[in-house]
Amino acid sequence: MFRLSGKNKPSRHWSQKSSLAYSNITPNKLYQPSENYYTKRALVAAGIFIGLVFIILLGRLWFLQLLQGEAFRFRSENNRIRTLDLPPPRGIIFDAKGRILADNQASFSLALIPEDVRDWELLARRLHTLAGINPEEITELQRLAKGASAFKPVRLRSNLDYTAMLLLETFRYELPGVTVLTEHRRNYPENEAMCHAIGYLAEINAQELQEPSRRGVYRQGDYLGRDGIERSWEEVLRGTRGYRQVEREANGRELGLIDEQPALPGNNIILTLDLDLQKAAARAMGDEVGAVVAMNPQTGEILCLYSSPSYNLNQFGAIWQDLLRNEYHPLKNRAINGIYPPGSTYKIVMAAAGLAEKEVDANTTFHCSGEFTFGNHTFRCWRRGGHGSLNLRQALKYSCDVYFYRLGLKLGVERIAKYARAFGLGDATGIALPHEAQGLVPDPAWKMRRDGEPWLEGDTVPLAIGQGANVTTPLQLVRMVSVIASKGLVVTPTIIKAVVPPGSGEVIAEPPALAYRIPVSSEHLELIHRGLVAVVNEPGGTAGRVRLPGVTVAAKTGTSQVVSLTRARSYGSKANIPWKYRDHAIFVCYAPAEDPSIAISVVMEHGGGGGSDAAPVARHILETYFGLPPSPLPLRRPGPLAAPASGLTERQHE
Amino acid sequence: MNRRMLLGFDWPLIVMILLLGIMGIVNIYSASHSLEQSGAPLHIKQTYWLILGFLTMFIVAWIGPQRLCAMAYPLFAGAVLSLGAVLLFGRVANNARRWLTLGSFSFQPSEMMRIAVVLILAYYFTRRDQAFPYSLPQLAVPLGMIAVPCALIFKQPDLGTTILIFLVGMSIIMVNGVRLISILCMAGLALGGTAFSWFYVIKGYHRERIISFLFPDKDPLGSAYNQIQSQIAVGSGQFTGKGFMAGTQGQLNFLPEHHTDFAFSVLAEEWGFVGAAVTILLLAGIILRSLLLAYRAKDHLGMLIIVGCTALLFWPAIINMAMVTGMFPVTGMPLPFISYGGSALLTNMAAVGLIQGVVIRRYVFSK
Repeated sequence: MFRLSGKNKPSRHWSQKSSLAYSNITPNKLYQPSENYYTKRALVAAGIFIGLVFIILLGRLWFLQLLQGEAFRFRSENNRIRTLDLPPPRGIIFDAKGRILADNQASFSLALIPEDVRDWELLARRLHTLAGINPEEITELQRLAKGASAFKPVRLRSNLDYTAMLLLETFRYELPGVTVLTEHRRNYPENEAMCHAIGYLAEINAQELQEPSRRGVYRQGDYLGRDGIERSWEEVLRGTRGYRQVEREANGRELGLIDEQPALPGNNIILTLDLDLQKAAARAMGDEVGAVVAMNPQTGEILCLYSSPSYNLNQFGAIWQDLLRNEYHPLKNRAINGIYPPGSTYKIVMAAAGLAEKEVDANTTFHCSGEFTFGNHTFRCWRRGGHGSLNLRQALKYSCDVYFYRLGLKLGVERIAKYARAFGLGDATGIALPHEAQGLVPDPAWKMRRDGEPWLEGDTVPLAIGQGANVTTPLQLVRMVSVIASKGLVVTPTIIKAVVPPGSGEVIAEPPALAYRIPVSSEHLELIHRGLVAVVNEPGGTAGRVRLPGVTVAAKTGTSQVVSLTRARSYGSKANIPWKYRDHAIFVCYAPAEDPSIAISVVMEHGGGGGSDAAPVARHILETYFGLPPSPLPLRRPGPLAAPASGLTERQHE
Repeated sequence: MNRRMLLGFDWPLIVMILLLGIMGIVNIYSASHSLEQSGAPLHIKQTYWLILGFLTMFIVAWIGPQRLCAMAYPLFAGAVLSLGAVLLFGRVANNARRWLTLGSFSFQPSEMMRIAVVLILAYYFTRRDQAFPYSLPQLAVPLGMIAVPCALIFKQPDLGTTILIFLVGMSIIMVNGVRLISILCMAGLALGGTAFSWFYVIKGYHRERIISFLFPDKDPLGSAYNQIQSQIAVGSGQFTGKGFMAGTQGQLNFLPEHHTDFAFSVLAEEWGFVGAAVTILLLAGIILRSLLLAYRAKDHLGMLIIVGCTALLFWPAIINMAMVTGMFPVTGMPLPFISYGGSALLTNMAAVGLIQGVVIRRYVFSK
């Protein structure tokens, strides 16, 4: 590094100005040191310098670590700069009219920072008396808390009541290591009617924490949306965590704030759902199993999404094991995940297909004798005596099966499937909720995949009245009927009206739903529409129960068989059929017929008949929606969710 | 590269670097354990960087200093231009423009400049038939070669790299040979320059750091905070350390940058004097071994290249360790082979590659 002093250098050659400048031309190398001469000497000096520097460094370490080590160790033990995590409050969820569906409440948890604990035995004794904690829990924690994890708070008790919290705060300084965490706890004021749409939260697990997208964003102990909106809108709702860096003494007393980054609350969300309709649906479904979906047919905004049985979101943590075991699967959101044969509501699709494919027109008639024989199999109409000769409008109004058997055979399975898909069946609607079922539109390719057998024409016959392998979700059903209501629009259902970032006062409206137009002419759709109006408003229609004062309703009933008619009849009276073999009651409608603003689908599992049992549910919702005085709900015998009943109450029969 | 050249590699140097690199990775595992990370864990990334570094070393050694020096002027010019470009279009991170982005690829031209300065100075001095030792006026060109990049890097601002390039350049000049009187003149100029820059050039926060370094108890939670905490970390390690992943100072996240600039504090806290001394001895071994190789080098060019490359390793090492033990102000300088950081590791391994390039050609007579 440094040149050696002048005395050491061979002045004979270098110090004399007059001597020739060093050059390679000098022949005698003996008298002319090589050009590396200086550099080599400098290297020796540099080596000595470097050695000294490293020795000084070692000396410094000796001083810090050995001579002063004790003092520094003491300082490091007293030096507790802690970074406290500030979890963000989750966004609030509102219904369409601004009522709170999910918010946060402060809750207190007792936690332990193992590294800070001085006396484990004393701690175990005191916590036993103060908070009733089993001493073995503390011993177990002591065993587990090793290494780096010892600095992280371990939650011992969640949701402390106020007195327990005060007691612990009072004694906290005597118990190093004990801390009381203030957390946000999700609260659902209107929980039962809304549970499936809202969803629930649960603590994140170790595996989820490892996922690349979650690393750094979530921490152990955080909650994650598991279902419903809480899940699909997790990223919008969760907010950004903050921290607070404080210096504390060994006993936990805070000395000062070093740095703070406040948590950023999550975005609030306004739903399209209307709490009044949700409650109406819950009331009307009572103790029956099933689902109700209401949608604005023009915009795709979901107004009501109810699934029965529902459950209490606020007690979710305590009851979820029971919910998992319950035979009616309350956790399942039947509105989007339940799949049911559409029954006679499928005749809407059949009518559209028949008209568009010009297999029938408004005046084409078929004769119904009450049964229809194809090959060696006899298919029956629901009305034993038959309907006689009827055209499309009458076939819809009376829901004649034979008319559609014949139409189905004329169309063939491929064309039926084509129109079913055009109506949005057999595929997820794309609603922003988890676990949406696709349903199924059967076709020959599907049968070949499943059974390895070709499609037979006879398979087409039950398909025509929405039976067979045909299955749809209640959400798909409401969209299907909305196509008629909106004169041909197939919309993507939306459930979020707007996102409201906290504090800004700004409301970010969700973009309008996507929609496409169905390949059926508007005259044909109008024809079907008039048929559906007749179903409600003309004598003999199957849905007279939803005739409302002042509002014209259009509807289609459906009753889908679960077991064969023969088997059902073998029980004699309808009331004797075991619950799980009874028909599903299905009902779709929209209103006002002139300019529809609401479309509804109701599915009542094993509920009986669409017109008799599902229609009153829809009526109750329509009355609530249009602000009409509610007509009494029909008396029913207790449904499957009622407590075991001693006897039958009076039931209305057709 | 023939078999003879492969055998000619200086294996003790490689082994010492490998050992240090592995110690570094183990330490990064502990130091970054409490960090909220995204992507691959840092110790895994550092392992990839180390492997890539050795590859770089072999490639640079294979190309060899002769061929690289032949490109010294264009390389230097390129580095100067990209430093200029950084000031104009560079990406801003941590209040400084240091990164240049070309498509999806981004690099720090100051890293390139470290190597370029060594090459151009070594090349310059071997090409001159000049009387030894040099006098101050004769040093005008090489001093300019140092001053230009220093000024550009200082503008970014990156005080650490500025100091490093200055020290590396001066090391080569000194070892090459300077008259005593010129040394004294330069010392005088340096003192004057320091005084001048203290009042007119150095930024407020650097001045604060230097003041807080001189009087650490003035503002214990302010800018001296890091230095005090780092000393507590090192000191509290005592003889055998607190144990792997059990260093309270590091694991509690109060040491800033504890996987990069303060990695050595974490190491000294967790492994104590024993671990710190092993690290220092390995670093001293690498540097003194390199000097020995310089001494044995066949030609002047090789010597100067090794000296420059050794200085590239020595100065950051000594500044970093002096910094974390409270003997030097905090100047963002990572510890070679121990601190986390891919581009610094690659540059260091390229320097080692240049050293090896000289060594493997000791029996090859090119002239």
